[in-house]
Amino acid sequence: MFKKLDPLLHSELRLAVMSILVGVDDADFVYIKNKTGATAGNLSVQLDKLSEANYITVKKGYKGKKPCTTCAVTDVGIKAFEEYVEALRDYIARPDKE
Amino acid sequence: METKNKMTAEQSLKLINETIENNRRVITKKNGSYYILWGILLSVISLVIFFLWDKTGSAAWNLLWFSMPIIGHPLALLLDRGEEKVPGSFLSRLTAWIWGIFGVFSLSLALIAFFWVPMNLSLVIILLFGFAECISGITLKSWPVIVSGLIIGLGGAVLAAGVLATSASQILLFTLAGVVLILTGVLIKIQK
Repeated sequence: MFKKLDPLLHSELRLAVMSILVGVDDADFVYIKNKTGATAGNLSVQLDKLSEANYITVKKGYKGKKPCTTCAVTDVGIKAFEEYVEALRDYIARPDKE
Repeated sequence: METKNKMTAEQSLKLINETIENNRRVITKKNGSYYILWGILLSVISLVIFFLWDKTGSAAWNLLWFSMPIIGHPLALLLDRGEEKVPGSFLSRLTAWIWGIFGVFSLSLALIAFFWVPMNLSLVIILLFGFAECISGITLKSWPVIVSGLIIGLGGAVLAAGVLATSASQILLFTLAGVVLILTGVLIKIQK
């Protein structure tokens, strides 16, 4: 029986966001948008979904007078990401996969 | 990037690997700018010290080494403003710590050599420099940095122990180290 793939992470943009955030302390919205190539609206929606699941934290603040949104992965998010990667490897390693 | 939900497992793993690798490359490229900055400072300051020490015969000009962090850190901050902001990470902190520890060791050895145990300070510091460079390169998975560390550390130690006779001319090792740093930084920046 295969491990179930987390549907929240099994999405190209959300997975890219999590992959960026697991490698850094935190990242601002603009950085994530530039690295993923996503539109601002779409990225915002996906960040909200990840935040609702407690996979990331989203902090809205200011840098000088400019608004700045900063995201960071949570321990729950790291664990979910690790389990997702493990499930992927398990799926790829099995010779009887469909 | 769309919110595709029908990626295969292979595609997902590929996306993860590529994203993490891109992140690492961004951090490495940012370090390239710092290598160029500190390489220029090292070359210029070492040349100034060599010139003044050689002309006056006074080793006190080595105190000018303290000008390096005083000039370098504000310039590094200016450099940060001009370039793409790169998020902090364990990798960037580790690299900063490596060089911080190198600075602490160098300063401590200089004080020990001055007050207690005279030693071939240039040889020891250039070896430490090369070591720090190599470890940074391994951390960043950057072959140019690892190789430049080997060249600076081992090559510099051989020159300091042998060919370069007078204490003043050993300072030129650091000029050479600076040039190697600049070339390393340029190589990192132009790498795709």
